[in-house]
Amino acid sequence: MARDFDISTNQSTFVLEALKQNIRLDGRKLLQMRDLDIHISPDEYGYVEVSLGKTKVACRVSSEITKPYEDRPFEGLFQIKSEISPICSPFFESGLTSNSKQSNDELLISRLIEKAIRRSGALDVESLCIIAGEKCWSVRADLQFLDYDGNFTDISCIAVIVALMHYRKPDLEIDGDDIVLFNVDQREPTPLSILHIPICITFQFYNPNGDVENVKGDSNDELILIDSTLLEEKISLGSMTLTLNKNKELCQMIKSGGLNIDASVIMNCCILANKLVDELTDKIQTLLKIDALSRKSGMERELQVVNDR
Amino acid sequence: MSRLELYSPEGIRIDGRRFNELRQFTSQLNTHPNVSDGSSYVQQGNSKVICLVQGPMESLSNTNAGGASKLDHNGPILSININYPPFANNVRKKRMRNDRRLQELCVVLKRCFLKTIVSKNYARTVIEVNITVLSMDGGLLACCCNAITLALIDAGIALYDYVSAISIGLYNQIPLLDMNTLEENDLSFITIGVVGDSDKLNLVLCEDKLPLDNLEALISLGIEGCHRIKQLMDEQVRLVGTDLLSKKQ
Amino acid sequence: MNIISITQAHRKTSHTIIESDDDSDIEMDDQGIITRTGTGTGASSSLVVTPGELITSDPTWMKGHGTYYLTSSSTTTTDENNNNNNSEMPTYSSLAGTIQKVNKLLTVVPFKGRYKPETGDHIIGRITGISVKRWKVDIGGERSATLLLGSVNLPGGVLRRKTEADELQMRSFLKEGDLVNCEVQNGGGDGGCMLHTRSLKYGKLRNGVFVKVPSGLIVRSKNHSFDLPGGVSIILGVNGFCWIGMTKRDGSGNSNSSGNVIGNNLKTEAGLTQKKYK
Repeated sequence: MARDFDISTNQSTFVLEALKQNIRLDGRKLLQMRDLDIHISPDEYGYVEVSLGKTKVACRVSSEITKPYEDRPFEGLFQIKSEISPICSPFFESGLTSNSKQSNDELLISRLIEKAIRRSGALDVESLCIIAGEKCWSVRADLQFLDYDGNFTDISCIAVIVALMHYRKPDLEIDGDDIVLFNVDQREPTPLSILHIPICITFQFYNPNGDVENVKGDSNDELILIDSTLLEEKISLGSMTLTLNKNKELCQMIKSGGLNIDASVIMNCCILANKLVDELTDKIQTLLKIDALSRKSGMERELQVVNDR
Repeated sequence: MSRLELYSPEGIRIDGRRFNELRQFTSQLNTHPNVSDGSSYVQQGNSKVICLVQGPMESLSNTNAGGASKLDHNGPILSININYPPFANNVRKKRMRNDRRLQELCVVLKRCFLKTIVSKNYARTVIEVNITVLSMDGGLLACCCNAITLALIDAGIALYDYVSAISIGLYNQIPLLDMNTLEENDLSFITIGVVGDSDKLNLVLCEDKLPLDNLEALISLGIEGCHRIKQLMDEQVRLVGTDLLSKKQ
Repeated sequence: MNIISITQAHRKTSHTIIESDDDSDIEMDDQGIITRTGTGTGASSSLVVTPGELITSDPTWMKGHGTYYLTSSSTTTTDENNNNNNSEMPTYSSLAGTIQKVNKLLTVVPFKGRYKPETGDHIIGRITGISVKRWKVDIGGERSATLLLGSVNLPGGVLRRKTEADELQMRSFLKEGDLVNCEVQNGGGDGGCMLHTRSLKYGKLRNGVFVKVPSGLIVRSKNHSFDLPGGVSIILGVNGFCWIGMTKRDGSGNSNSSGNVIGNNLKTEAGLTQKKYK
């Protein structure tokens, strides 16, 4: 049985009061993200651990060769699996209980990642086709949530997309009807074709005044913050997740109820998110570039060793 | 012509509408007076939805009794169920009871209405909403949202305001209001829910890729559309209300 | 932003389906005008309002059920007319219904809705559960009501403090599914209401038929039980639960019926009292 995250009234009013004065408990500004730390596995392809403050997520991408779906013979398979287990926090329980609040959260997160990455076509599934209608790659991303301090959506989206960009599938050659797979040592593995990099940004909304003010008032002074911690997430009155890429394309957007927010405020959020996404994309790309360089040198070093012998 | 022309150069859509034209919107209230506290029927073009509301009551009816049993001390427990039978679409397709897309919509709607119901009046109660889709021709979420609003009003549940929703698509920089299935299949669209006559959005859902620059145009057209739908719903509520009053006297 | 043009056809087409189309259409138009003028002035008695509609911005009204309001403190800073704000306290409706004004109290009475118990209502309820010293009674409201063991008349009309033995015997007085004719002792509030049957006219119902109608159709009045010719009497509970049954006999029958009101098992009751006196 999962425990509910209980916050005392005292604590929640304290956090809210602080937010009203533009102070967050960890000293950040309202619209400032925590430090994003991406750890790419140095000795294998497609495994990353991403952490945002205390929140931590691991993602592994793997692939195998299967038969494509009959109605889509030219497309490979791509699926994202995510399961929130009690490993990250005692508030979650393993297995699905159909009606609990947690499974709702989990459902929203997994649907969101699915929409952000799969539906938006970040991975070119047609490039995964080997022989039309016969053989194709099936790529699978497994998400594991390691530690929970709020903002699972943003971080898991980053984790999946970085892992996908980093992953290399073994090179192959088609010889008539046979497929020859090459070992990583034999031939340099090929990267997946990633069409764009979607990044999720989640906004949390807080209402300094009452519900009525929110519905009827004109002041629009709802508090907005990004990258919330667990505590902030639990007391938030509504959230909105935007998924954007560097081309200024909105891949997905969901504001599931909660506080009523003026359209102009939402547009402002979009502009802000756009800026953040640019920064994050650059960061991810430079990181991957550095990693790629270090890897190449590693390979050369290995060759060097062979030569020496 | 092999490819459908979704928007002709003259500015006519596939079903003869202009870009800013709603489909025929019909609604009825109190359609099922004996089995529910509030009920509504909403028809937007060929999309038809029935919504039944039970409650506020002390506990869930027998069907869901196993589930969330803990009552909330700050507001009602809202349980929303969408029943999407196989005959509702052009192509007969059986949906599992736990279809993830529908479940997601349920969660979205639930969160949306929890903020709209004057929740402090209904602490420690349960409100159960059941939606049956009779026929779907685009705008599933919008239809459901409008139907729930009407059914809740019919049930005499206190709301801060109407929530009216509409879908808006994008065709070559041109926003199209109230999409049908053909348009939904080919174009990317968003669904927005607006509170009353304000510009405040309660609900935004976009599942397809969309240039960010066009978002503003879509939302502003959508808000206008929602206001119009709110007006139509309001007329219907008044009509039914005055009718009821005349019967009482 | 552009104006939305809309197919207006639906009004006309729906008319063919709805029978009394012309009347309702005119009515609606009238109503629309009335309410629009009405919101400003806050005039006559039965105005139709819908959720979110501004009822009045006059702060002197007291806000009752079915309304909500903006407190002036929250609107002060950013609004356009600061001077007015101190005096303005707009009140909105949260229900679809009619405005009712009692002195300075403004309430919205919904067209429909679940029964809201008020003290003194004569209602009929159905027992749904038994717990310590109380029955849980479904009265068709938002919450179940409670009927305390202390507020029922014992079978035989004995007036005494309820003992532990009575507590154990509760199910023999009223069991789940039984219908009771009772009165609301203290109504509403937050946590459901209390009922009592401390009168000869209240108690368990038998020999009759149960009918449920919307509670809005029953008007609160002095008398809710009526004897019809032919030995039929009818009880119209304020909560919309009605009972059509055999008329109880008057005179000698009355005292009998008081015995019959609660507890069908007089014998065990007699045994109980005997035991007690030993």
